Amino acid sequence: MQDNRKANDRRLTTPSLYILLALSESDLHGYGILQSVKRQSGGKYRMGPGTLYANLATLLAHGHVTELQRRLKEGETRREYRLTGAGELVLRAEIRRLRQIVSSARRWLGKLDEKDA
Amino acid sequence: MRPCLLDAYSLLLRLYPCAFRRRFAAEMLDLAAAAEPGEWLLIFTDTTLAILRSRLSPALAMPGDTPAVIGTLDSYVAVGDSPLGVVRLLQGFALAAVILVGLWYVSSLRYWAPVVPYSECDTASLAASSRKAAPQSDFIPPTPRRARR
Repeated sequence: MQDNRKANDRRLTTPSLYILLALSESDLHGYGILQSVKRQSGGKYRMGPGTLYANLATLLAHGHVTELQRRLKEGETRREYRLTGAGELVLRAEIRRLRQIVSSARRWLGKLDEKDA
Repeated sequence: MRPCLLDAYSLLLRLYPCAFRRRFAAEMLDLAAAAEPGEWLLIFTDTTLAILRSRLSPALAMPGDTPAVIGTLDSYVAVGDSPLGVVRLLQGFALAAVILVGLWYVSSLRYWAPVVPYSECDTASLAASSRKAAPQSDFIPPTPRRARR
């Protein structure tokens, strides 16, 4: 019960949210995640490697993201990251929370617009 | 230029806690190698801040395949509750104090002269210094107001 309340009282940090969003599209390596974040935010949110890997490490530890080795040609491998089921749940909960905020903000702004008119 | 930046970046990555470095440093270096020239400032700044943060947070080095964790609730922000504890604040205060003392020490070495607005300059001392600098010149220092009276 207390754990649930704690989970509801927390929100994802912005970098973690963007990373999970990027991984919801497909499995990606670090550079791919950065490119996806840049694209999703229209270039407004730029994440550096320090922020990316600090957040990835924690998401891995929480089990929201898992890693896999992708085989490239000539025997090379590349580490990629994949969104887990738990990560998807967390992402959905966060999007739901943000949607509620946006809808209440819209209502509030609507009232303000009526006052202005 | 690029190899120099990469060398500098690989040196910077050595400042990470050991477990984190073993796990992610190679990837971070690859990522930096693929960066565009305009992104280097972001890369260095972001990594430096992340290193500071990792040093201030309790870093856990887990054995085996478990990832190196920086902090325990790093991917979450507690709503209505400051994520900074008293110990963390004290650590930050100590770090800020060290940085300020370092800056004060460097500035005391006179590597650069502090910019002082002219209005705040003491005209008498200005005149004295100009006399010392150019004793043969025709420069007439402005008379202080007290002397005029």
